[in-house]
Parts: sequence; structure tokens; C-alpha cells
Amino acid sequence: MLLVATLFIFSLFAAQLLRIQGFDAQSVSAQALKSRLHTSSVPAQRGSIVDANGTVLAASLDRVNIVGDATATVVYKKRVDGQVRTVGLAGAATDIANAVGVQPQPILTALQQAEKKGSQFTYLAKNVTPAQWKAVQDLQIPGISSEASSERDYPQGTSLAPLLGWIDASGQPGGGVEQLEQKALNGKPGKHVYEQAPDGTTIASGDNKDTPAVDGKNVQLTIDNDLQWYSQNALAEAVKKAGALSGEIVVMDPKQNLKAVASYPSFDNNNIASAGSSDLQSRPFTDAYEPGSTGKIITMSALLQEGKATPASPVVVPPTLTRAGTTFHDAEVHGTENLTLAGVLAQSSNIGTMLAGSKLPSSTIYEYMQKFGLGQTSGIGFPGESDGVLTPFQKWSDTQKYTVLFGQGVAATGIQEASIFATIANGGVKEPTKLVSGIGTGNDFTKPADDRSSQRVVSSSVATQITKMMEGVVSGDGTAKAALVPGYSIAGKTGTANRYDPKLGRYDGYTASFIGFAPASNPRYIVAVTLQRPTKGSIYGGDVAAPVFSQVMSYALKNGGVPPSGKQATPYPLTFQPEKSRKP
Amino acid sequence: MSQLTALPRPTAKSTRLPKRAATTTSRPSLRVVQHQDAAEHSGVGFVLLCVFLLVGGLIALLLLNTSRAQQSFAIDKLQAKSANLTDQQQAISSQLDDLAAPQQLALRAQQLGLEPAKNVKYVRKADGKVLGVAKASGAQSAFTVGTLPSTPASRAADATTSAASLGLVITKPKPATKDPKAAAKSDSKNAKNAKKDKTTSGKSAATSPAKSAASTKQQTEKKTGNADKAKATSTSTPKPTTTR
Repeated sequence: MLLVATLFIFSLFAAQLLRIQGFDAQSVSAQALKSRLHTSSVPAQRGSIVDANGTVLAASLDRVNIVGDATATVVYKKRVDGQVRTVGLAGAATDIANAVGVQPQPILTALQQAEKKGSQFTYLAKNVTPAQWKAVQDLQIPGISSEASSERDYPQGTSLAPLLGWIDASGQPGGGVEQLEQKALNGKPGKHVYEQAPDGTTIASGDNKDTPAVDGKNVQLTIDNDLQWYSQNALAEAVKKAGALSGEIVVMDPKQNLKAVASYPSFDNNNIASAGSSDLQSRPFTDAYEPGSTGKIITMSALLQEGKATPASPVVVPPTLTRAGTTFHDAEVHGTENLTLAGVLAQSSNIGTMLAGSKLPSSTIYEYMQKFGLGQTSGIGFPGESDGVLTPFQKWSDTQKYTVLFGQGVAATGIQEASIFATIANGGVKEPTKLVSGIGTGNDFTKPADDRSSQRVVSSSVATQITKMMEGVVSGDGTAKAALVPGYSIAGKTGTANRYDPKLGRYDGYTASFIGFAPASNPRYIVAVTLQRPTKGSIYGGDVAAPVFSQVMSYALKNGGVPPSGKQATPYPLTFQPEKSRKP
Repeated sequence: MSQLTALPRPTAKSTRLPKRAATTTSRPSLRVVQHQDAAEHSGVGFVLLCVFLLVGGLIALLLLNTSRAQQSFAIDKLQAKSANLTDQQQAISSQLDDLAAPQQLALRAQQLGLEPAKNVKYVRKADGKVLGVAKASGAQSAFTVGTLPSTPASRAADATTSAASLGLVITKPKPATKDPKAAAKSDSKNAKNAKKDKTTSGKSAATSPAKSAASTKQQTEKKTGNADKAKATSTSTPKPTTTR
């Protein structure tokens, strides 16, 4: 009997053994492995943004969020005066605060509230450095753990903030290059799979499998950081001095590589919470405004290219001119003047430009505006970039047909305006505007693909003539002597436009600008300075913007090691003697 | 164990083989295996060898596992050290980037009483000709630094705490000219500069508290959400008819 019972029991054992080791072997071992296996995410680092010389403009830093489980922290015990005592939440908060170097009260409050609710997950401190976390970790407080995080550092602060954009609390890019190059900058997180013993230590002989994180790529811009800061600083001072609403500066080379894109007021992208919502945008990209007299360059180029005029063509400018029921004036009251086409540009006569420009049909003017890049974005793809306002010539009103000749009734961005002058500086060939010069890992950058191509807008001889006419603007009789840079020849054009205020829905104040390039004979830099609604002192581009141009241009030339090119070229005659030039 | 029991077999086999051969010839007489003979094959040496191998194997396994565990600890330690050094490197290079920013350098230069060169002359290497126009720097060529963030508190605090935790000594975080007294003291000999510093610092100090008070988290969220929309509305659509 006993034997039977024994055999029966042992056969049960055998059957169970067979089941576990034989039939269910796989699922049981899988279950066991699952209880040991742990997976942790390996964060990928976001790529850096650097300037043309490799200076860091934006970089990601490893940070740690300290997380607390208040229900576990309550039993925190600590040796005080040789005796082990339960110091609880208050003790934990004090110790953590000391280790991190912050006030203990907010941490204690967070813990107490979490405990009341029975919550096992509360953030106690966000974005502390790994070193600070290590100090907290060494305290071995129960229920305190960490969460990997990262923080974006912008060493240049306000000088580049609108151009670079920012990273919000959830790690998503907001505006600027951060958003433009998100695909390249953003990395792919990896996975670390390992076997863990019940006490939390890694089992040395266990299965380890790593999928490494793929870090984001670095992005190099065409921007020169020193020039950028200098421009931003000069702009900040000019805007304050002129009591202007805002200001912008664009610096590029004739190949249209952007060297500086300044926008003021700016914000600090290290501390996005403090930023004003209207300051987040890079105005040269996003704000379109009526350029005013700088737009005369398009009319002059079209006239010369179409063979309708030469720089010496006579234009008799009356004091006022009535067209389409509107009476037009020039900025300064004058009698009838005998100006050449060069003189019309140098003295920025609206009436003269209208008289000369009316030799061209609207369709031709429109065609040149398009060729110079108005009505379309630069193609960079900058977030929120405006394409300006260029209505088709068929829809132009009767007055608009005349006002577009001197840059009113049409709106352009700072980038578009600078691009027009860069086209002239580049011998009449319009290169695509570039902001990103390379994408790569480490310091090994490759040029990003670009399907835009360069286009000839005017012949090189027309470009040379326009340049010489613009040198007249900066000469003794021109509107912008303040733009001069001693030792260099400057070509440029002032602009003082009626400013349309979208908030008010009407014209309010003026847009004062100066755009030019130097050295005129062999252009290296194009600088465009625009101030919106200056209120203190003068409102004219020649008084408000030209001095800023001079400052920024002289720094750019010095910084770029450009040798002095000598004085201004002798300008075309600005006036003519009526008897001599009267046609037979 | 099975090895031990199996061993005597070959001897049995070898005794059997001649037996078959002997059937045809003379059959040797059988005899009982003597105790002495058995002792020769009892394999005491063999048992010892096996025990030795077994124990040796176990010890070897133990040593191997120990050293593996030890290496694992060493790896952990080195990895922690590496991570620590990486953190330090990151923190230091970030500080360097902050300090090397042109606005920080300009502030330092200003504190030291330096002024930017207005215009410089160049000497052409080919013929030794002096090109350009140079002007002496003076009060007019000095600049103010207008690009400092108006709310430096959070950033400055962060820089200080991270530096403190690393045991590093850094110079005062931005804005460097926050304290008018300090600026005046450092430049007491140069009254002009001290005055200038005072004016700039006064401005930044005046703007900072108001703005920092307004910085709330909700603002950020609102901003980030509406950034794109804000852009769309900010571009003006001018009425083309109006002019002067």
C-alpha cells in the first residue's frame, strides 16, 4: 500500500517535472527572463548649431530631472548625532535642496502634496546638472530617482535668438533654425536592454543588448557670429536712439551668403518664458513692409537694361506732379529741377522716378520685380518667412502703377531687399540666398542639397552703371553722406517710406532704411539697415539708418580683412544744362 | 561514477579474447582473481585525478566568475568615471562658450577700459604703401553693450550652481556690469569709464525686475503654440493706393 502511494506521489513529481522541463520549458524560461530583463532609453543628443567659423551658437547639455515617490520617502532614515532617526519628508527636502543648491521649501511642498494625494511620481527639481544629481543620489534617500533630460544652451543669447529659435519644455523646436533644420538636428534615441537582479544590480553574465542612440547632426550656418553681435548691438543702440518701434539689419556677401541677420527687440532663448511674443520672429524674414526709395533701384535697372535711358538721360522734375487724380510731391520742396537719371536717384526724387519710369509698361516693371525676387520667398524655407506683397500688374490701381516705381504699393522683406542689392553687387546675377552652409557630424560638414540656381537679372554693364549711380547717393550731393566709410567706396540707396501699420489698418509713421555695399569697385558685403517708425529726431533713412550702415559696414570690412579701396568714384553728373542737352 | 564502474571492462574483455582463441588449442585453467590483482586496477590514482579535475574545475569556474564580476564592477566604475568626465567636459566647454560670446568679451574689454578701434590703416606688403584712413579711438568710438538679456536671474543662477557643484571658479555671470559700485571701483582711475558703466548698468537693472516678474510658464506655452499664427498675421498687407 505504502509502495503504491509512494509511487503515485513520485509519478506526480515526475509528471510535473516533465511538464516544466519538457512541454512548457520555453514559456516558463521566457517568463523568467522577462522578469529579469529591463529596458532603458538612451537619449540621443540634439545636434549643435555653429557659425561659419565653428563658434557654438546652440548646444544641448545633459540634464537630469529629480523625481520623488513621496510614499517611499516618508520613511527616510538618517544618522543624526550618532542615532538613526526617521527624518521623513522634511529631512529629505532639506538634504536634496542642499545637494542641488536651491531653496528646500518648494521641494518640501511638492513632496507633502504628493503624499497627501498618495502620488508616487512628483518632479522635485528639473534640469539639474548630472553632478548635482550625483550629489543627490549619494544621499540614498528612498523613493528618489532620476529622469534623463536635456537643456538647450544658447551662448550668444539675444544677439541670435530670433534667427535660431528655441526649444520648448517638451523638447520641440520653436521657430528659427531649430525648426528649419529639425530633421537634421534631431537624433534618434537608442535602447539599452539588460538583465537585472532583484536588488537592482545588473547581472554581469546576463543578456545585454544595446541599440545605440543616433545623435543629431550638427548644422553650420553662413552667419559670422562676431559680425552678427556687432550688428545686433549697433541696431539695439540705433533703435533706442531713434525711438523706433523695431529694427533689422541684414548682412550678406554678393553670393548671398547671409553673414548677419539682426532683429531688435530680441529675446533671450535661454529663458523663453521672459520673451515678448512679438519679439520671437526674425523680422528680416517674417516682416514685409513697403521699401520706399530703395525700390527705385529696380526701376533704374529696368530702364537701363531695356535701353530706355542712360545714367545721363535728362529728366525735368517739376515741383509737383499729378497722375491718376493724385498729386505727388518729393520729400523736399523744390522748384523745377534739371536732373539726370543719376541725379534723380542721388536726390531720391519720386517725381523724377515716375517721369522716367513711365517709359516702361507696367508688365515690364512687374517682370523685373519678380526677377529681382519680390513676391517670392528666398527658398531657404525659414519658418514663417514672408514672400512680401506683390500684386500682379493687371490688378494695379491707376496710382499704384506709379507708386511701385518708387517702392510704395509693394511690400518686401529685409532679405528680399538685401538680395536686390546683392544682385547688382554680383554683376547682375542673382544667387540664391543661403543660411545653412553645411550639415554633418563633428566638424565634418557637407553642403546641403539645393535645387535653386543663380539667374542673370541685368547685364554686368548695367550693374556697373547702377553701382556708379549709387555711389552718387553717398557723394556730396546725395542723400546719405552719413553712410560713408573712410577709405572705402560705398554704393547704396536711402529709403524713407510711408509705413503701413497692419494693427491700425492705415499708414502710420515711416520706414527709414539704407541699403548698400562696399567696396563699390569689388563688393564684399551688402548691408541693409531698416528702422520702423523712428520718432526721435529725423525720420529719413539718410539720417537714421545710414550712420548705422557706416558702423556695421566698417566693422564688416575690418573683420573681413578687406583692404581699403580708395575714395568714391567720380559720380555721373547729377544735373544737366537745359540748353546743351535739348534734343535737335 | 559511471566512469569508475566502466573501467574494469577492458580487462575483462582482454581476458575473454584469448579464451576464444584457446578453444581450438589448449584451454588455460581458470582461476579466481586475487585481491592483489584487483588492487592493481581499483584506480585510486584515477579517482584522485577525477576529484582533482572536479575540484580544479570548480575552482577555475569560481575564479573565472569572480574575475568576470570584478571586471563588470570595474567597467561600471570606469563608465561612471567616463560619464562624470563627459559631464565635466560638457559643463566646462559650455561655460567657455558663454564666456567667449562677443558680448561678454565686449563687457570685459569695457571693464578694462579698452575701446574698439574705429578705423585702421593697412600696409600693403608688395610696395609698403599705407592704405586707408585711421582715426584715434576716443569717447565717440566707445560702444555700449545693448544685447544683454533683460532677465539674467535664472541663467546666472544656473551657471553659478553648476559651477559650484563642479568646484570651479568662474567669473561673475552676466550681466557683468550689474553692480555699479563694483564697476566704479574697478575703474576708479578712469572716471570717464566708470561713468559709462554706471549708465549701462542702470538701464539693465531698471528693466530686469519688471520683466522677470512677468515671466510665467503659461506665457511660454501660449507663445510656442501660437508662434506660427503670429507670423502669419504680422506680415502686412498694404493698401496700394495710398501714397503721399
